[in-house]
Amino acid sequence: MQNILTTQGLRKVYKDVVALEGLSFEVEQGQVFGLLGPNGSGKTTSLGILLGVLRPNSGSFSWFGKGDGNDLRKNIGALLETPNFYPYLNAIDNLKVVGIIKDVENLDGTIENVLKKVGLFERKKSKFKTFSLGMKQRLALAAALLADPDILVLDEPTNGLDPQGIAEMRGLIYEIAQEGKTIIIASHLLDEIEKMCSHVAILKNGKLLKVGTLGEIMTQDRILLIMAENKDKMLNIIEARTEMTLIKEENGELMVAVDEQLTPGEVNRIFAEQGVYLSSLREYKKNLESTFLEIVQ
Amino acid sequence: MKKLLSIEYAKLKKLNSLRIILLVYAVMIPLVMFMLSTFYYNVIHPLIPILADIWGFPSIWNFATYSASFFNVLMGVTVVIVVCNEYSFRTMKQNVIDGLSKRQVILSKFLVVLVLSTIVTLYTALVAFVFGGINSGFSNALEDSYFILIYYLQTLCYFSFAFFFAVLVKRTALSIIFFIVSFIVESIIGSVLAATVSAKVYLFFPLNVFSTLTPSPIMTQLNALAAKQTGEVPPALDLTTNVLISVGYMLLFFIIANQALKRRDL
Repeated sequence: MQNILTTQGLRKVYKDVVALEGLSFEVEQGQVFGLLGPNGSGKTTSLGILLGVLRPNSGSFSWFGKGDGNDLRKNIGALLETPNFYPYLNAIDNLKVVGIIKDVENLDGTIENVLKKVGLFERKKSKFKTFSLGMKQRLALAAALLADPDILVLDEPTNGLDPQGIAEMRGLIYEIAQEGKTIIIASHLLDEIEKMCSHVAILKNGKLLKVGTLGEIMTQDRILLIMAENKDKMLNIIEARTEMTLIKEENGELMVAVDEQLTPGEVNRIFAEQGVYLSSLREYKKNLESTFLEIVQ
Repeated sequence: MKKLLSIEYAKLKKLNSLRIILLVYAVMIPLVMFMLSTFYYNVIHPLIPILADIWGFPSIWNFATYSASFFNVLMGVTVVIVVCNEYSFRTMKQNVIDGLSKRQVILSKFLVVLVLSTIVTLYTALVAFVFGGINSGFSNALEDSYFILIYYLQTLCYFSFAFFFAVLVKRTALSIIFFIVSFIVESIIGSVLAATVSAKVYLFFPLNVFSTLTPSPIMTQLNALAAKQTGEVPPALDLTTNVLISVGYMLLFFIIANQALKRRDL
C-alpha cells in the first residue's frame, strides 16, 4: 500500500507552551485516519504544520514519500478550522481562485461538477458572505475536492453545524471515503470518528498517546462499571492497583479500565478481599468514547 | 508570474473598495489639476507674471505628477486594504494550504503593488499628455517627461510604506490609521527638529523624501525667484540624492515586510 504521509518527531512550541511533542505516525493510501483529542491537544497544530501554515520547531514530514514541497499540497484537499474565502466573491469566483492555484484544467466545468456534488449549484452566483455556516463548510469541501485530490485533510468539518448540517456533511465525507480517497480527519466528535475511520491517533497535550486501527485501539483493555457503598475506599483501591484505571464517575457508578487478563470475577474478589462489596458489576461494551476517555484520563 | 497575476486579478476584480478608490483617483486627478491651475492663473500668475506656464509642456509633467502625488495616500490605503483583507479573511493562509508557497504569496502582493503603481502612473501620464497637448501643442511633449518615471518611483515608495504597515499591523482599520497618522507624526517631528536641530535633518525623513520627489512647480519657481532676489537658497536634496534615498527606503520597507511574512506562522 502506498505511503501517503509520514511524520517524524514533529515539535511545535508557542512561546513557552509545547503544543506538539515528537509527533510521529504514518498514513497509508485508502485509510480514513482520525486524529482525536480534547481541545488544545495539538490536532489543529499538527494539521497546520502538515499543510504548510505553521513551521515546526523540529521534526519533519513527507507527503507521498516526496517531502514537504508546496506543489505537493495541490494534490491535497484541505479544510483547516474555518472555511476561508473572499466574502465579496460568489461561489464560482472563489473556487476559481483555488482552481488557478491548484492548476485545475477545464476549470469552469470542474467547478460546476463540485458545486453539484456538495449541493451548492443553485447558489453558485451568491456571494460567500450570504452563505449560512453549513453552506460555507460545503463550499470549503467543494474547494477541497476541486483538483480531485488523492487525499483530503479535514479539521473539525462539522464544527458549528446544526444537526441537519452535520448529517449532510457526514454523508458527503462518507461518500468521498467510499471512492477510496485517503482522508485525515481531526475531530473531537467520537461517534463521528468511530463511524468513519479505519485508523485513529489519539493526542493529548501535544503528545501522541495511541495510534493504530480502530480495532487495535479498542481492544486493549476491559471496561467495567462498578458500584459499592463505600466509594472512597473503592477509589483508593483503584488508585493503588496498577492494572486498574478510573475512567470516569457517573451517578455513583465508576467506569474502570482493567487489564484484559483480569476477569470480572477476579475484580470482584480483589475488592471483597479489601472489605468492599460491590453492589453492581457489569462489563461495558467498549466504544470509541470509552476507549478515548480511558486513554486520555 | 503570469499565474500569480491571474490569481490576484481573480481576487481583486470584484473588490468594491478598490473600484471606488480607482474611480475617485481617476476623477480627482484632472479635477485637482484644474483647480490648482485655476488658482495659479487667477491668483498667483497675475501677481508674478514671469512664472512659467504650468498648464502646457514641459511644466505640465511636473504639475501633473505633483497634483497626482496628493492621491498617493489614497492609493496607499488601497494597498493596505488588499494586503489586510488576506489576513482578515484568512485567505493568505488558505492560499498556502491550497498549494502556494509563502514566497509566491509575498511575490503576488509585490506584483499587485507594481501593477497599481503602473496603472496610476500611466493614467497620470495620459492626463498630463492630453492637457499639455491641448494647451501648448505636442511639439515639445517629451521635455521633462522624466517626471513620470520619478512619479512611478514615488508611487512605489508610498505603496511600499503602506505594504510595510499592512504586513506588520495586519488589521485594515488600524493599518490605515497608522499609515495616515505617520504622515502627520513625521511632519511634526520633522518641523520640531528643523526648528531646534537643523533644517537639513527633515530632508532625510522617508515620507518627506518621497514627497519631494515631485516638488510643487509653483513653489519651485517662487523659491527660485526668491533665491535670485535674496540670495538665500532653502535647503533641499538634489534629485539624484533624493531618488537614491527613496529607493533605499523603499527597499528597506519591502525587505522588512518580506522578512516578517517569511518568518511568521500564518
